[in-house]
Amino acid sequence: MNAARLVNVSKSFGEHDVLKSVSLEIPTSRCTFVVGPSGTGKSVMVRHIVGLLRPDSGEVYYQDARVDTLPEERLYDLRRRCVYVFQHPTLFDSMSVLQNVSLVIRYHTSHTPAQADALALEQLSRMGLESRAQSRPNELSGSEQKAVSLARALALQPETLILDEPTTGLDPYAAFELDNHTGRLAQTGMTLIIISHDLRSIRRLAHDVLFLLHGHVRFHGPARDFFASTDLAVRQFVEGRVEGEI
Amino acid sequence: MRLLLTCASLLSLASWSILRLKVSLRETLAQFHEAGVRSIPFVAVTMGFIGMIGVYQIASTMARILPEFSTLGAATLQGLTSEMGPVMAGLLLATRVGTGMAAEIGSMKVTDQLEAMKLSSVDPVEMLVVPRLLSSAMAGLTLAVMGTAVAYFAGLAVAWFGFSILPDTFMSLRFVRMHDLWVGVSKAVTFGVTVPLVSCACGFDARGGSEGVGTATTRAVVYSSFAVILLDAFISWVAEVLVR
Repeated sequence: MNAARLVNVSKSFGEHDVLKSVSLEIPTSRCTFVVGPSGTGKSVMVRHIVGLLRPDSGEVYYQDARVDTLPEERLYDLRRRCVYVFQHPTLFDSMSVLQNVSLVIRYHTSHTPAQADALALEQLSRMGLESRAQSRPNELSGSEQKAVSLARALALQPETLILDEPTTGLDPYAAFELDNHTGRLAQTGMTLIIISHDLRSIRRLAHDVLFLLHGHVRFHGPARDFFASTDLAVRQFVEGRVEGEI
Repeated sequence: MRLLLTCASLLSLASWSILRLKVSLRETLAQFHEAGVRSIPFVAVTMGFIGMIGVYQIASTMARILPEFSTLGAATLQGLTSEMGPVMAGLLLATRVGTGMAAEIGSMKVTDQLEAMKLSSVDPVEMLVVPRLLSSAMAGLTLAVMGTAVAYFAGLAVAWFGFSILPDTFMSLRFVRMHDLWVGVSKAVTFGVTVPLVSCACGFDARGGSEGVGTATTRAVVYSSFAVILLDAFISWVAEVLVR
């Protein structure tokens, strides 16, 4: 079964064609990395899956539900099952770390505020952040903010998690820790869609790789085939060379 | 035009949430504390001065034309109840509370916090707009009543010490009709709803970075003050037509 499916999706911003008739299928219970040079439409592509963007033409499906024609209120249910975590931590800065996480629990369940706080604390402790529960987001480091964003997303108990460049801006140790956590999620059978440029993360975690270039899908297949690919653009990306099509 | 559409959209979505009782009491009370309770000193001091200046000006003029002050207190109370109390409370609410709302929501908009809310399946209208509308409606009424009282008693002090008008003479209800009371209450509640509605809409419409937040804040105070004045004229007109 597919977690997400795009059929001939095109999207432009002004005169800039970002996605050009893209068709693809992302399977469930696998960790798919979406890679490609900056500005090639990776974030734009995944934002279509959660209905944050609507295509100019084409069809977008999450499992069997067509997303691009769903009204906004119906998207809320979809976004609870398929959670998108932004590249930069978008924590609610007027709330404490604990409140950031407990808010979504209180909103979607019938738990009392005390119960929601307890569940949120449990979620934070899994990320090693229980001691920062009462801090404000601006008192946290970048990696801690990213971890809280992830904890908030996981509080919804989603079946699919979309992470937009989770390790960008983190030091190698923090990136390694975050990868460990993502790896544990992948082992639970959760569908993961991760936008990344981090080849080390891709080598460690990816089941599949989707390589976007100039608004087209250039490669989509198992991670080992990606790293063994003889496609010149893929080779250039993997080897980090300046000269070439990219 | 865009702002009007945003206001209409927010009002309809917020009304729908209220009808379904999707209201966070905790957040509404917190907002009431921010919009109402914390505005008391600002409104009290401002309305006190307005009451003193108003009575001083009117009494000075009356002293030159017809040195007879028996109607001064009653006329002041009538004017404050139906006009100055709610209008000044509305304008002060726009200045102190509306700007804060536009800046907070605008800042959340430009830092993608509103998008993050949607992505957490949390409705931003239910979470941010509804508590602000309800708390501000209550705050508008409370501040109008309190402001009217403060202005009236500050005016009484000026009348007594400045023009030797005894409190017994000044404190008269004879010009205040039930109609004035209803007009005043209607205005106070309407302004209490309008100010957060316009201010939240300005925040939701914010674009760009910190410059966008600044623009949203300026627009909030300008358009919500303008809306208060326009609605004041409209409600006064409707009230007069109904009385006739």
